Amino acid sequence: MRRLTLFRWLLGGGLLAAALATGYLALPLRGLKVEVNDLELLPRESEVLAADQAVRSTFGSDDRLIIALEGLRGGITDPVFRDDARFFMARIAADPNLDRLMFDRLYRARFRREAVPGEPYLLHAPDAGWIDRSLKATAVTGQIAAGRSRNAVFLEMPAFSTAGVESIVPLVRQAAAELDARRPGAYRVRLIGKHLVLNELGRSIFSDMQRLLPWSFLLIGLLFWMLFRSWVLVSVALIQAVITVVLTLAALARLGQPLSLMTAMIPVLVTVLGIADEIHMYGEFLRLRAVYPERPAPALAWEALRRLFFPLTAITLTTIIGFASFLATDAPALRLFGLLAGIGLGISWMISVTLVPAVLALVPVHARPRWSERAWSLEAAVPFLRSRAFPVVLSLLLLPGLLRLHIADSWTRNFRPGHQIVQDVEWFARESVGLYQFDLMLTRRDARAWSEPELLAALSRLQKEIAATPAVTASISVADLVRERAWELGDPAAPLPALPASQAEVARLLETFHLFNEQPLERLFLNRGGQATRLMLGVANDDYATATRVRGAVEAAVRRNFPPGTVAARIGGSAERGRVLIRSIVTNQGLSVGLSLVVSLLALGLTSGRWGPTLKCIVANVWALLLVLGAAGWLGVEMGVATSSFLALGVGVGLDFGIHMAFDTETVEGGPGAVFLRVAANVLVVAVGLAVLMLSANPTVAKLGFLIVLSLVASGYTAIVIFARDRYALTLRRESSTSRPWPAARFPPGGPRTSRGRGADGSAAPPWRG
Amino acid sequence: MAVLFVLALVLIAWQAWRTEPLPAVPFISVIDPGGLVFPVAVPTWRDLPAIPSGREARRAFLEEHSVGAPALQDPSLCQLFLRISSDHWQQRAVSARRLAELTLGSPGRPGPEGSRVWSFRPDGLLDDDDQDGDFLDPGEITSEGPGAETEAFCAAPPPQGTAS
Repeated sequence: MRRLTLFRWLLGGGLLAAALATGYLALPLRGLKVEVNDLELLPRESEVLAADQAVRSTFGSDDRLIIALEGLRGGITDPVFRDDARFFMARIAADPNLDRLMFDRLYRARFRREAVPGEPYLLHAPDAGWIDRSLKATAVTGQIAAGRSRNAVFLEMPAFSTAGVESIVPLVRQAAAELDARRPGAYRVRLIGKHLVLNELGRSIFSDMQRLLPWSFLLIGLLFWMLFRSWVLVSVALIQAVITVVLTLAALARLGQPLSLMTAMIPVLVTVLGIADEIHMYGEFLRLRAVYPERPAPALAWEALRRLFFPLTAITLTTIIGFASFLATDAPALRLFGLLAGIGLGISWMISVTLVPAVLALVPVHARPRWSERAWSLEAAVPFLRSRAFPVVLSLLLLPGLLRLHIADSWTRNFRPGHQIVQDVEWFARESVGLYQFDLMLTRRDARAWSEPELLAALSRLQKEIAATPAVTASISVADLVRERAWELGDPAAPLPALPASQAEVARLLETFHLFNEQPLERLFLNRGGQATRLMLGVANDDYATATRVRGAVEAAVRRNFPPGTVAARIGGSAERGRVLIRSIVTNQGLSVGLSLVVSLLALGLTSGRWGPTLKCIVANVWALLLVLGAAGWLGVEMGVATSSFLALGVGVGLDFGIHMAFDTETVEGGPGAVFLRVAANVLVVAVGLAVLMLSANPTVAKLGFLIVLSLVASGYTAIVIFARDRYALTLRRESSTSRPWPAARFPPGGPRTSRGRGADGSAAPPWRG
Repeated sequence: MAVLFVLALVLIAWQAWRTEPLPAVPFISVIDPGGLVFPVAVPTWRDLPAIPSGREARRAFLEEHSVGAPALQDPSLCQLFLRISSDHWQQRAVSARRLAELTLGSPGRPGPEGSRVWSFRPDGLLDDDDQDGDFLDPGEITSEGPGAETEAFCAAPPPQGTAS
């Protein structure tokens, strides 16, 4: 007893030291940033990122914040609208920075051939008739400056950074409020831009984590209390969860990485997955204590650890393998997600095999849940498992859903449909030429300039061919700029002129962009030397089929219009990024799932030496994942980067159940029902814990939570079906359908024996022990 | 199993250490130096600018609101400012002789602070009579308006018979 007291003091000191160490290691958390980067899900070495970089460095950045002023009573040529628009712009421009950065394509001053008395300059505010003709005649004004309904004007600001955009929003809202006070209910102001979406997403990620994590702790605490009826055991599980989360996030901060869309899910994941070990440790400890009440707690705790060390290590390892398989992908967000989850689970495992047995050994646990006092028959627990038809019918019903599975992703899917950002983006999609864009960068290899009339005409032909592709909603090139500038300088009543016949005339027209202080408009399409040009193409949506079709049309048109070797073509833009993203989702997830299954198979098979049960674990897992994918297909749940991550989790966590069923050391005390009971409790706790993800304000995370829960339940089910039908078949026949009192088995001299030897009563091992 | 587990943890820690944070995409501008006056194009929300009085202050203001040639290096050249919009000018360096050609020796009309001001007709922008690649042609800058205000700042007095 005195020895135990000494160890208890040591445990207390150790806990205190661990708390202090955790606090110290958590210091970097103060510098943890929340940040969403739209490129983090794309493969780093992808061609589209290189093309985007080339486009950016050649034609400048074109990230913009769009401020749309929508008239609810009048159109953009209405003098009242113009006057109010001017008031609105002036209010925004009250901030000196915004005054310098705002750009108005619609009402900007235009050249007039005749002098205007009282206005001693060349450019003058256009009248309503001129604007009307300009909207009809020119691509730039007609497609970019105003909405299709002609009730909205689009103002633009360069989006230097997410923080910069964030600071603009309140100023615009203030200006909108002042406009509303001037003309109540006449206008609606909308803000559209990638940075806005990313900012809002960052905010929602943080608030989600603040909301979901306490729920996760609460549910785990509640479930552990229901299962084990011991505050000591509940406290240990919660302490483990807190330490794991804190140290994992501290590791994230220490690595200089921000909390992002993917990594924000990790606290909930490691909390829930980490405490799964405790279910088995506690369960086995309590069962042993019920069977061998005369044995001291340290001996029981050691025996529980000895029996469970292999399965606990194996399930953690396979879960880590599941996450680490993302390392095979080239998407930074997925790689970091996998690494961080692995770190979190590693920390949790260390606590499970050190702190937890120490507490079980040294801290008195008085709880005696009734289930630990009884033996369980599998048949009694789940009668429907007896049905051989059910799994077959279930598979036949769900698997055809695989054919209906749809892969799609976009940032706005991270908000609920009623969210203002979604409404604004959908409105903009209707009013503008399309949210998604292809950038075709064409660089002459022969050093000729695109301002040569012949090359300009070829570019125009190419543009016309591509624009005829059904999904292309708009196209703008330097040829448009030249023709439209010629129109602007000429007779406004005349139709759009043909391309100039001489290079000097082209140069003269392009020079006016410089003269009129509109050089960025020209640079967007033609580089300084004139050898590189850009064709911007709008598409209605960025689904894989549409984007692939348009890309194919672009490549074919380039081949048709330019002899081989004369022009280097690169394709970038948001639509191309979307296409690459979807392709990388399929490739990455396929790669990571395949890899984690193979590595898990090898790790389990080699370390256990039992390939049969190992293979069955994998089969059960694959079957479960196919069932879930089929269900997702029927339910119309689209697979995106985040949602499809359930596959890796499904492998990592789903295998756990099969591993317990296959590899838990068979004991006299428990029988198959005991293992099953622990697996069922594991499924319950992990599924309920991860179900908190379904409470997320982010629909993508909520869907991921749903799919994870579904895959865990399915994995538990398939593991039970496969292993129960196999190893426990005889028991199913023999056991009665009700719980029975625990037999009077006791430790034989020398400690408890396992199925590797003989039973507690000295008889041969029961048939279910293999 | 334990060995595999430790190996996996070491691998993960190593990879995590090697994983660099994704840098933010920088905003890139490719505009020629001196090629832009902010804001882009002509702002519709601004009132006419208040041009400061005093020759040097006025010149500095026009320079600041000009696209075109960078600050004048050669003192023998004149700075010519052609008003393109309510908000910006085009600045160019011209020799006194070229200025005299453009104005046909017209002295201009009195402007603010004792300066001389000419006018440029808008249709002059649409042609290049002397085919020299410059829309400003001899005789297109006149003393009489209407037209775009044109102002010159010369350090040395122009040759006889030219503008001052």
